[in-house]
Amino acid sequence: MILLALHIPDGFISLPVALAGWLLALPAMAVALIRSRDVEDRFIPLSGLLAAFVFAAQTLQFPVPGGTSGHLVGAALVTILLGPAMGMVVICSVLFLEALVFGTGGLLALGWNSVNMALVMGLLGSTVYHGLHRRGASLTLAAFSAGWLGTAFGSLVTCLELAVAGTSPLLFSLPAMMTTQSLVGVGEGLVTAGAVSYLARTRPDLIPKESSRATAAGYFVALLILLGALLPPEVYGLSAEQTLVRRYPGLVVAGGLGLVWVGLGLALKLFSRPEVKP
Amino acid sequence: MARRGAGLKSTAVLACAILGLLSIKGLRTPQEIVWGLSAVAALSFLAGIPPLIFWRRSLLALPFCLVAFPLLFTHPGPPVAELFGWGISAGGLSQVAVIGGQCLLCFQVMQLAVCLKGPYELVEAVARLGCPSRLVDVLRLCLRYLGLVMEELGRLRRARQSRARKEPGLLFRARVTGNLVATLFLRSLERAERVELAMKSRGAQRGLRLSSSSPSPWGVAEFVLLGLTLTGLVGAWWNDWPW
Repeated sequence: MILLALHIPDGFISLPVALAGWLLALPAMAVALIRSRDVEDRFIPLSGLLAAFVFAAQTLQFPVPGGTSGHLVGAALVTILLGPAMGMVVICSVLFLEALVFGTGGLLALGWNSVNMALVMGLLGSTVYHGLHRRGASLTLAAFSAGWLGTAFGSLVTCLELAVAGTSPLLFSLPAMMTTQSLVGVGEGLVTAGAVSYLARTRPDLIPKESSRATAAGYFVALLILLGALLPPEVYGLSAEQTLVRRYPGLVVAGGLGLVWVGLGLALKLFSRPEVKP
Repeated sequence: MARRGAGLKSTAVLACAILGLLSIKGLRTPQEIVWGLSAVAALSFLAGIPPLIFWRRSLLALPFCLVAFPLLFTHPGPPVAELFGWGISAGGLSQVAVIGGQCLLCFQVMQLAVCLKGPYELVEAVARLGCPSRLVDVLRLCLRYLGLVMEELGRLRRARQSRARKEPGLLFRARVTGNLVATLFLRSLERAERVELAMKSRGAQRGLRLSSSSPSPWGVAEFVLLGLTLTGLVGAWWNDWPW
């Protein structure tokens, strides 16, 4: 069975919740379309072909303990390689086609699916990648962290959205989805790292430099997730008298993942090789 | 004129599908869901889609429906049955049936639209409904080249299976898969460059918009369709549908 948990289908969220997703996704998409005018002549062929690439790459599956399998999403990889604007356009195009033609996800839920995969997995993943690489991490480690943390945060946000919609209770969905998706994220991270390190060896000109605007956008997405996790527990269908872990589960998980990230940073500081300058 | 009529039909099908998706949110009981499923099944039968194929395709929606499964146990109410030692309430059972049914119905409605008009015509319909033409061009090219890129991936996989070392390690497999994805990315980039050159050689203007990408002006029929859709939405809202 393929784990499709990051795609929210139609029927799972009410119209007001779906509308909120569209209100978040539409401005981001508009900005991405405007910003990608930098590559005007190449925009349509490049985006179209790379959307087909993402589609094809998503058919690659890897086993997850428990008898299931996960598939590559490719959001972090595409956003790292193409930049946030083109990455967003490509991922949203893939999601749109999936909803329109292939029945994965849904047209009403497309707003939230775009937020989860293009903004959280893609943009946040790319920010993690650039942030770690700037602090001396190898490309491989930075790309792995981008793929893994992007998937983990994507599933966290999906859990919060489903809880707000009243479809999947947070106390069940959070441990179940975070466990499986963190394992899927390891696969995503490994494949992202393999692809980025291969491209760095064979076509280093394709590995883009960090852009301050993209980093700022990534931090903005992280801030939105944090604010979302800080909402009162009643919003997520929890009672007010529950303990801190239950009261702010999103915050606790985000904090845990943040600690993992810091741990990774410390590990790479300890074990990274000194940079050899020509 | 005939072309315009064909375009209008695909736009009408997509508009009806979207209206159908919105209406499905108004179904609140398992009985209403059964009525909805029967209506979609009847429509698919009338459209000439073999029921076996239609329902086999619908099975693809099942993994999504599983996400609502925990509601069986968490919905408040006296337990009417037990599963794995946990009580299942009647309300939870009903809610899971409604959410799962809505999910299945939405999937079937979109599948019906695809079966009726095909993916290319649906993308044209998206353009006629006002989606930005740059995005529609991307969708068109993606659909057009999806088969080629999938073939390319198939060739790369066969080459990997026949030539790569058979090592069971997770890291080795991940690295090989990463290399495969990166190679596919490079080949897609090269193909994009070839497509760009081909478009330029055929006289594409600045921005390389596809020839049919300029949206046709709206005629009376489109406005009537929009009016009907809006009327349906307002009518549903007026009847206090629980959206």
